[in-house]
Amino acid sequence: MVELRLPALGTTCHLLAVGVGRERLAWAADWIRERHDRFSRFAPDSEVSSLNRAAGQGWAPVSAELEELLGAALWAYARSGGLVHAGVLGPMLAAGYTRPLGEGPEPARALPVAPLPPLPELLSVEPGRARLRRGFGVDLGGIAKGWMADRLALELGPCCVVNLGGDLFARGDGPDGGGWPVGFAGRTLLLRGRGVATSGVTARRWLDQGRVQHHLVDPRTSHPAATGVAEVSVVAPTALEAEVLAKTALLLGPERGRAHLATASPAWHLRPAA
Amino acid sequence: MREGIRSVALKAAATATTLLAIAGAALYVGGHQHSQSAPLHPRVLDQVQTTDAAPLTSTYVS
Repeated sequence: MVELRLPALGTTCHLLAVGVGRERLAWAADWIRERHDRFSRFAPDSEVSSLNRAAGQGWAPVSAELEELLGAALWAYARSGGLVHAGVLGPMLAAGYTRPLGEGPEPARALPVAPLPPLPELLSVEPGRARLRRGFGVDLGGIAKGWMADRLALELGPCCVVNLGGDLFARGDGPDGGGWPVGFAGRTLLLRGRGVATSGVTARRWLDQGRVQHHLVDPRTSHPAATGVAEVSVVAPTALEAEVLAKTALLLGPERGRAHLATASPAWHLRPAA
Repeated sequence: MREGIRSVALKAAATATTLLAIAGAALYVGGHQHSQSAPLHPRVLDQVQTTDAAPLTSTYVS
């Protein structure tokens, strides 16, 4: 078994694989870095930044992968009943999350408590192009991590784990044939062909004038979510679906979140806020 | 004599109250510790198995 850890996507990525050489992991690391550069909203020359800048100016060309990723964002919106909303860029900037948190947040700006318009009203995607409504932008965040974990695991090899900052896909039977041992809510699960993700408000948070701000915006209010849930971890058929289920449950709150997960996931953990 | 009995009774009541408070706190904390570990819900155990082995990697909030 070979493994590699690398800083990327604003977090730590961890790759494990059986039956491939280290050069394949190096290729995978380059694959991640390249997509980080293309899909980051912080890099002014990224593909996503170009799309955000073109909001209100009609159709903009997008690569096949960004087209697929934007399609995944629309799917996530529908799958979550509108709660996983990629069009949260404006509220994120207003909360002070204007640059990587390693560089420090900026002071928050006042923003009215109001729901975001539905994502399909803000974002249209067609083959080779996409269109954003004036005044709006996308942050693909966790959706990109889940999508990338699924996609890279398919390409890396038949027995591997791609863990992109907690959003992961475990492919194949693992190093001992019984599945990949994956830490999950203080236990170890054996996973084969499964995605896992954790969503929470315990990381990427900061204090702004005595108020807690964090990165997870509730599209019903356009403000950082305060639903009584601290963290949700979910197992699902793909990392993308796990990410969507986890974020949906977190935004639904403890009771409705548990009810939602009970019908949708084979294993999950919901930790209420203290 | 009556003052002495009253003093002993008060001390006994205070001790009992303290012991009850300690027991109550232990039950409260224990209940919360239990509920901390309870919400892992493997609905389909044959699809998601657990092991005592150390994980090779983990999910977490990032």
